[in-house]
Amino acid sequence: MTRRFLKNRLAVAGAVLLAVVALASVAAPLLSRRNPDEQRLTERLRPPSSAHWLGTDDLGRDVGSRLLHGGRVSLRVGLLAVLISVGLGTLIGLAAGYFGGAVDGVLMRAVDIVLCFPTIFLILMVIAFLEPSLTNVMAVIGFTSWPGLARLVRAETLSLRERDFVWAARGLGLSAPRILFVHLLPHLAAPILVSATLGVGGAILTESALSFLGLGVQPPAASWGNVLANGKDYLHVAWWLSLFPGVAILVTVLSLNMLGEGLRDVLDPRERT
Amino acid sequence: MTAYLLRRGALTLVVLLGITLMTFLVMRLAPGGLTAGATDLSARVSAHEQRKKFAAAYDLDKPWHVQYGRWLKRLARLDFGRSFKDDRPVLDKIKERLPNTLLLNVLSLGLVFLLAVPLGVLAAIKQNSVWDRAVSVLVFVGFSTPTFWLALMLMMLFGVRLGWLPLSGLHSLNADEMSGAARFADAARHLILPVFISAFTGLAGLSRFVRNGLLDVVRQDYIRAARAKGLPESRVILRHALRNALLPVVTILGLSLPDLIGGGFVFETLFAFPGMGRLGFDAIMARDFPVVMGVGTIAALLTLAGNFLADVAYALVDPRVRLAGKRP
Repeated sequence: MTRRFLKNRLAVAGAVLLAVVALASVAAPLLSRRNPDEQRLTERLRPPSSAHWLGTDDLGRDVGSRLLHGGRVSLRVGLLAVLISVGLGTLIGLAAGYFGGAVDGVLMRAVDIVLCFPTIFLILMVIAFLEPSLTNVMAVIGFTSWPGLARLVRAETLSLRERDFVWAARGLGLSAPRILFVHLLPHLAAPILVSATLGVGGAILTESALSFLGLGVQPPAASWGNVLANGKDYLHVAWWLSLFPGVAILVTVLSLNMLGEGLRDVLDPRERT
Repeated sequence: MTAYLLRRGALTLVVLLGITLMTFLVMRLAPGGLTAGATDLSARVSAHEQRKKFAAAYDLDKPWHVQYGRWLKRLARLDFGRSFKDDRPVLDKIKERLPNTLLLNVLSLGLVFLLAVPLGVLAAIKQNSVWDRAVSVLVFVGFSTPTFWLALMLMMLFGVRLGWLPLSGLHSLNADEMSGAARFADAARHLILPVFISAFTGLAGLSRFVRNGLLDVVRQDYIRAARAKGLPESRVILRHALRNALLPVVTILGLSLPDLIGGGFVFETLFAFPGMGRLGFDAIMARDFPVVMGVGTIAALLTLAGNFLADVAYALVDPRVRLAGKRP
């Protein structure tokens, strides 16, 4: 498995890129030469230079430091939101696929209903009612992005539940939770892992869009989305303010998508094309 | 076919009820109650009066299932109530905006198809070539680009630096003084950036879909048979393979509807484009609940209708679907 992974250039490139982004975010306090919130009004809107590699913003804050620290926020939101949505999606998909009948009917109609609303609209509605904060953003993204995975897990469970090892487990009189989590779940690890990896990228995109609209991470705390939102007002004079945060988002999401698709090839040779 | 239609119709009806129930319940969650937003000072009546009017109109003094029942009844007549902000019927406000959003989406879907199908076919018939690589790069970048950022960058380049395209809205300020043709050209110039941005993500998804679909189909026996009987490759691909490879696109189209409408929330706001997305966003920010409920319900209804039509179209063109009973 490891060798197959190492031979997959897409997966390796994605993993390396992601590792660079993650390390840079984790080591943000060490790497950044300035406190991300420190304002120097004498150094407003400076273009990139040797002193400020990525320039400064309208309050004289160092854009490089803000992006490094913003990366911690984005990655954390992405990971935790996906943890929620994967948990929910897996549970619901397993239950619907294994029990079938009325349980399946009700759960899958719920999926249909949630999928009919534009996700961003649901998120905006809920966020507008709650306070926009990091925790709320994570929770809302997590609680609205499970239906896709639930469908996937259900389909896999449907085909797995008729396999001999599941019949054997049933014959032994094992309880449903035990069959589901001990015997079925390991077979679903690959598709769940792939979908989770891609999901982190999606969650980061959503978080940045929310922060961009002013409904996500609140200033002065830096996030890629709100640095970008700030840059929007200086399009005419300071291109670096809006270019770099977008590049940071693009590179991070790209690395996750590459890793995810690479993992799909590695873990599921059937789908190779 | 009739049985299939009935089954699909019944399911759609259930989901439809679910959609209305969900919109209704989300609104119940609003802190301060539904009337919290009815405090606009510029409105013609006082906040207190407005709240009272609203409480009566939405039966807030009755138990929730009665409220829901009455709301549903009004919904059936497409009566969404009146906006808190300007006291106009919500339906009128939606009617103004919906054509703009539909225009935008039809144009961008057209662009997506025009570009994605040839790209996908090219990548598939020259699998692992430079072309194939280029398409995969496009796909990955397309999926990873924050659209609002791309919009911002293009605005900066074409709007600010080069000054070629207008930055916002659908018409110039002096549009009313223009002749018919000039007005049209003006609107077209305003539409270039939004249509391109809206098409960008869809382009990535569809070209990959066409590529993988075609690669699957090409391996099947009837394609081998077509080749074996000596048909030219172009005919095999375009006449025999592509037809089947494009079948599932119908479904994809239905499924992508909510994202098309939803994507609008962010970039319609950015471009100040007078569409449904911006109407919804502004209403949410202003806690104008009747409008929020109206936009949410209409968006979900459009999606539901799109999915239903896609399923029916699919069953019409592919007998396997309507005969197999349940779809996987």
